[in-house]
Amino acid sequence: MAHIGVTAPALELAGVGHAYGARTVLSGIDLHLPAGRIHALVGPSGCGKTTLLHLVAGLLPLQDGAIRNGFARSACMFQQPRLLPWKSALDNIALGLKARGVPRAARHAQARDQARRFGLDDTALGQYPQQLSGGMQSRVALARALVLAPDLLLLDEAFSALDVGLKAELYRQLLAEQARRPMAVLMITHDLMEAVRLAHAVWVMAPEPGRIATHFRFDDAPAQRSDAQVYARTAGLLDDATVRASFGLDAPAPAAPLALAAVGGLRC
Amino acid sequence: MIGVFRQWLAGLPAYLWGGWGAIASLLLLLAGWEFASQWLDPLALPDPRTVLATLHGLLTEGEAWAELAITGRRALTGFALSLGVGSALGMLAGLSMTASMMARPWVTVLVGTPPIGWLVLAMLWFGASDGTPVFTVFVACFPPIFIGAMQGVRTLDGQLREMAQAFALPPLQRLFDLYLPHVLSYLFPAWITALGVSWKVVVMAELLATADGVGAALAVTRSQLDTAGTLAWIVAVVGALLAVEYLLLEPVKREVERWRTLA
Ligand SMILES: Nc1ncnc2c1ncn2[C@@H]1O[C@H](COP(=O)(O)OP(=O)(O)OP(=O)(O)O)[C@@H](O)[C@H]1O
Ligand SMILES: [Mg+2]
Repeated sequence: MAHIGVTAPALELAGVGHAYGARTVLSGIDLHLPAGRIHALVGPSGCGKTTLLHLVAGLLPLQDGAIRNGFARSACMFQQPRLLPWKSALDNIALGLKARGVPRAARHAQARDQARRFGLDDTALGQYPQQLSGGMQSRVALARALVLAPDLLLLDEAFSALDVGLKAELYRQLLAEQARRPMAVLMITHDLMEAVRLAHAVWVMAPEPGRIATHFRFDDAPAQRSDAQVYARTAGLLDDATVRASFGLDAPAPAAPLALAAVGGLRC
Repeated sequence: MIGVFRQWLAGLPAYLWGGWGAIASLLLLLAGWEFASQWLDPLALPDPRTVLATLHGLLTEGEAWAELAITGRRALTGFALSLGVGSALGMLAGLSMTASMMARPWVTVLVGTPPIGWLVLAMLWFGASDGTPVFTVFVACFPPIFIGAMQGVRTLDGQLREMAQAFALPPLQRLFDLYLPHVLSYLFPAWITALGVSWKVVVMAELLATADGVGAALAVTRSQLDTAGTLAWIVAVVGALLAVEYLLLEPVKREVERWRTLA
């Protein structure tokens, strides 16, 4: 599976398909994610985004096509928090470190560090998941993945349960982490603005069966993007005929469609 | 583990205090017994005071402790064997769909075979040794424990299992951090059921197969038509069972399942 080339590691999908029983949910997915880049995956509900992420994480057997994952360490955050109800938040965050054999004191220190950056205090860390709010649970789940310092981070709607302030803070954390070391991120989101704010590329999926309809590149650094730029690009994305068709929006685009290219988006 | 023990000690007073309701309901039972004994021939049902006096006599003479210790050793040995083997095999069977489907009919056969049948077999195999009651207890305790463990594993949330796979939990961590905490909530009730079974079955086995233990003492009281003595032994056995269950298993269960009650 590991793909060691002269170039930096990458995640590469070629012609990936998947069926649950007789029902085909994914077909002919080609995707390329290089090291140090953030790619967003958007698409209507039920088009197979989670399935695709699980295939990449190796949680589903590959039925069709090829996946080459050149990254040494991947970590995954699921659409549901999936925390162990019998472990404190701190022990939940430290779970992957424990699996790697990190001694107790060290893994707790690392987990506490990561949690602080996500605004989780010691009280919250001592509590069981059922005692935490939904947003706190998803921060614990995100911390559990990030504390592993992965080269490939897979996020399934990581930020959807958070308020705008927390979202902005976690975006900042993610970009800072990503500036420190070349971490590739594949993030599923329902929020086009989030995709446009964080990602170097946005892959748009269409349903029945799930496939890549189109994808856009944004070459500037995400941390440098202004709000105005993000709004303009989101509007541009929403005006795109392919995107509208993928999400089942009314076909006719507004009279004067905003050219995405004018605000820095390149259709690939 | 030491932490669990310390918390068990710390929680004991509050736990005992909370037991007043149970004690009151036991006293009510005693009152019913007293009432019934007034209408019946003392040879059929002696009143509780006579029985408790007989028990007191047995305990102070020291005879009862020795017999109870022998019976307790046999019951707990069989129970512990069943607890270990049944829990382990049940969990293994739960991991595989095929194994659980295959195991079901076997367990039904085990449940359906009367303990007295096992006892006769055990007498043929082990004679008058400790092996006979211990084996009979083991076989009688096995089905509920096995089924509890198997169901515990089968009902573990598939999403959590996927999560454990994604985070590459090694097998031992998977056992202690993922499976056991969930399975324990199925195992504890099963263990408590099996513990009750073990005391009943051990007395029956001793009655028919051994020369010592509470069961053998019961055989003697029966031959002497000593109803008070019989009831005294029964009270002693039930008391020992209650002590093991409520002073040991129940508090440990509370401690281990604390995450559930806090939620
Ligand atoms: N375990 C499963 N067994 C059978 N069908 C499944 C299973 N998981 C998902 N599906 C089906 O596959 C399709 C794709 O599901 P998936 O969860 O990948 O969608 P999604 O794009 O992540 O949707 P959402 O945005 O709502 O999370 C859905 O129609 C769903 O019904
Ligand atoms: Mg999904």
